[in-house]
Amino acid sequence: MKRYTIAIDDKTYIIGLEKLADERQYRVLAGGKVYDLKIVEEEETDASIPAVEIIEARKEKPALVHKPAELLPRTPKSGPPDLPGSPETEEELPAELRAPMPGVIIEISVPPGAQVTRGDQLFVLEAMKMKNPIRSPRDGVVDKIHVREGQSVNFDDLLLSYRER
Amino acid sequence: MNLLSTLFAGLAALTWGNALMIAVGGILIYLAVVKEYEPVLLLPIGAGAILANLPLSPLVGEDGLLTILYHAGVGNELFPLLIFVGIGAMTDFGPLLERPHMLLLGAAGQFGIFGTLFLALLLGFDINEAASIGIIGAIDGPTSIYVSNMLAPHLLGPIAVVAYSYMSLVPIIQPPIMRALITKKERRIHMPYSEHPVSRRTRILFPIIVTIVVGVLVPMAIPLIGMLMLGNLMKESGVVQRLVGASENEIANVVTLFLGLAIGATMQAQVFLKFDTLLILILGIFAFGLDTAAGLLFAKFLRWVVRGPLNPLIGAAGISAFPMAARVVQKVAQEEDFENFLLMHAMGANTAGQIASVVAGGVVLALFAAK
Repeated sequence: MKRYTIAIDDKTYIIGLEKLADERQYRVLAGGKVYDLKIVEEEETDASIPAVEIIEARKEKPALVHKPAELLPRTPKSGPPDLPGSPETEEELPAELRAPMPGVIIEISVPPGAQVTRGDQLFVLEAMKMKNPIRSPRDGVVDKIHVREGQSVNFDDLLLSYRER
Repeated sequence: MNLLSTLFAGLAALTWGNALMIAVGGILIYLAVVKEYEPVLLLPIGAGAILANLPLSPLVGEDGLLTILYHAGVGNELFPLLIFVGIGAMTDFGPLLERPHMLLLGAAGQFGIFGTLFLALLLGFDINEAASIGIIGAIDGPTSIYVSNMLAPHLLGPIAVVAYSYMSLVPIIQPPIMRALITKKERRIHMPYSEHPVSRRTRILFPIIVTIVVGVLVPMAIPLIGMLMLGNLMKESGVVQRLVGASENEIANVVTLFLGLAIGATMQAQVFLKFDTLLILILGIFAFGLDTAAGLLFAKFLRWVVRGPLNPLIGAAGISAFPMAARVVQKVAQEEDFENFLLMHAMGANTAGQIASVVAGGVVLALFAAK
């Protein structure tokens, strides 16, 4: 599965997209739900968006690597995303933190078990010779840190998980 | 008495202009040492300025070291070109190859060249001088030196000093313009990070193709782009590590020292202390600001065209100052939203700016050198 951060009208969402065995079918993870998309017809038009038909919208929670919580919009106060079929209103906090870009972890700023609030610096990630602070996206307690200082990480590598309440 | 006047001949020959230029050299060294503004260049330039302005200095005599260095590498364009080999060997065009559309932003970032050129014309500089001053808007030291030495060698000193001093001020010059032109809401736009692994073949073919395409279109840019891409080809080929190492270390370091000293030596009082220098100082900052503004506005326009997630801030990175401009973009974006990471996109625009500034240098030469 590939994870995408997409923006619709200035709001950003994280969705998962997986190409299925059939070249024209995709499985999409959005707003905590899984949809199977099939491209029914594809032609070049001026409008440039191919017709897509939702052939199945499964309601159960998916058994995927990424927890659905982090598929909620990144701006928590903006309410539910306008993606198709995502009526959930309760805010789920991300259970983990992933690398926003490739680089080297040069500093781990908090120990496991630490109580952090949104905005606290958790790591320093050096990318392109620039030191980038990685801050906590939520309040919570650090459960596990999955990287060492000096370790190179790729985009989307797991850095830290939060303790479940 | 005769003995005394011989002993103090230096003191007697010291003019106010020399003294002032020695002070200017001192300021450049201060900026290099204390503020760490481009120290690798400003320190030798400052030292060169002092050495050249000491009265009766044998260094700027007919066979003086500074004179020899000037003729060996500045007058004939050798040094800036050798530096380009090193820059090419140090540059990773990966972020650009992953996002080729960033080339457009690099092109927009050159607008300041032409805007400043026209303003310089209005202020009474002749066309070659105006073009040389405009090229400060390439925000690229070696390109500025290369072009101004061809078109208006008498302005080389002020132009090089202005270009390098302002380049180190990019983190101070750019953010206010970015905040003024890009709304808070726009600054918060996230851009999806997409990883498109670039194959080794693409990385190797890229410098060759760019050289051929640019070379055919803008022959005057061949020396600059050719050397830049030669360095990059050596780096990406992976088979000539020794040459890459020499280009980015030994050759680049030695040439930087020689270039800095020779440029500093052009700052002799009678040439440098003119009203023109002051105008160049003002026009230079205008060029930087115009580049930034044009890049930002073009990025806004681009966002309107593609209607996709594009943070207009990355337009500010479409200049040649690498990697400062990209870092500034990342910093300004994070002031608004700490979860926003634009660095890799900005790097793409930034390397595009490097290529575009070299091409722009060639275009300026093609337009004006013949006259």
